[in-house]
Amino acid sequence: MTRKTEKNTNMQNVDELCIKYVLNELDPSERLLVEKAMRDDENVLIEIESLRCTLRKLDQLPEVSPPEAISATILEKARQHAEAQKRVWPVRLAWGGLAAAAIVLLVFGAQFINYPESDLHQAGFATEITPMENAETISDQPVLQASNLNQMQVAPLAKTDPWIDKQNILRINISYGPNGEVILGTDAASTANAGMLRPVEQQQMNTSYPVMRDIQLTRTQR
Amino acid sequence: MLSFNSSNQTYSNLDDHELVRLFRRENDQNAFGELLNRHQNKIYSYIYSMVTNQEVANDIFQDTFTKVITKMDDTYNEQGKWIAWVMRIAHNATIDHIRKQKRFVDVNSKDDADYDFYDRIEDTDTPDAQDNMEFDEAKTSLMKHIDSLPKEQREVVMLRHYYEMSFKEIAELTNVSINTALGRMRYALINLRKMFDKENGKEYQYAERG
Repeated sequence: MTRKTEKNTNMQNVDELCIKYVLNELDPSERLLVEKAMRDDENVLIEIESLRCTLRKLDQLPEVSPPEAISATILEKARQHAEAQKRVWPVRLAWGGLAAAAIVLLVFGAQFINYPESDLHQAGFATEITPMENAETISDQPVLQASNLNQMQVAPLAKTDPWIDKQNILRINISYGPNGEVILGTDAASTANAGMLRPVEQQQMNTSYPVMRDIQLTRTQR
Repeated sequence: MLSFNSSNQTYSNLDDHELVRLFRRENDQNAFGELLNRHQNKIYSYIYSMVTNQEVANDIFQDTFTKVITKMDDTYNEQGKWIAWVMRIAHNATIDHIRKQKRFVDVNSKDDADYDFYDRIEDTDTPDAQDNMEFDEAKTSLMKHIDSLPKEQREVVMLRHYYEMSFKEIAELTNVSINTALGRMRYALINLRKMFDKENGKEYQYAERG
């Protein structure tokens, strides 16, 4: 940096500090520096005092009030806006109430969907999982049919603490027959080589090895 | 002095946040009246000092508060100061007006050394003589000197004086750096000082810093 450029930069910095000092935009350490400069350099002192003097004159700037007619017009607009909002909110509240009622009905209605064991059994569903002697094709198992639904009775509300039995995990051996049919086996021999749970995406149609699945049951206690 | 039916004493004890809440949630128009009463002079003074025309200042002031009333629910989130939000609307409306006017400036007038841009804005309606006198009283030599400042310098001076904004806030509002805002303020003060000295017939020799 040349001497002239350095001098100009220093002057610019001093100017900046002077205006910041007058406008109280300096931190305490910078203020001390400027106050020292004021003591050491008369020009700095004159600059700061003249800026202060001009700034004080700005205090004489008048505050101008708007015409009363304009203020009255604005107040009238505020009144109209407030009245309009009062009309809008009851409608909003009505819609909000309807929405809340619909949500309550949905939640309340869902509580009634709780099938008792006896009703399920009557409908033909197995309520206990027992190991099968022989692997059976899935087509031999009772399936959920529409006719079964009519025999189900809606039980009164019961306690719904979830039950998870970590000791009695149902293991199902899924394999595929020569024609691609799914074969389920829960017998000890089939599940002997139970492995880690595999993601569903890894299921292959014609594997030469059985695919193991671990299923944890939950039930509703009465 | 605005008058509205309310227990003014009660409202005057509330701070701006509480008044805004009353207006927004309970549609209390008297709360809004108190807010207007409290801040209208400063806002109007800023607008008037920038446009120096009563009719234009009235329009901008009215537009500002129309926006305040209709947009308070949408764009004011009660986090910052309400008055800062209103000032921003007033400032933007003022600058938009100035920019629109500048598009219609006669090119030839730029050669005229005595040309004052704001002299060319004529009122469509002749104001009342009484109004003129009142505004002339208000329009002191100080205001005339501030009129003469470049728009950027006048803006900084007015925002600092009427709105009491920090330079950080002024810089954000005017989209410049803090140092630029400070520089404009410095030049504004220097220019005003020269005008005062010239008016008083004094000419100082400022020592050059060697």
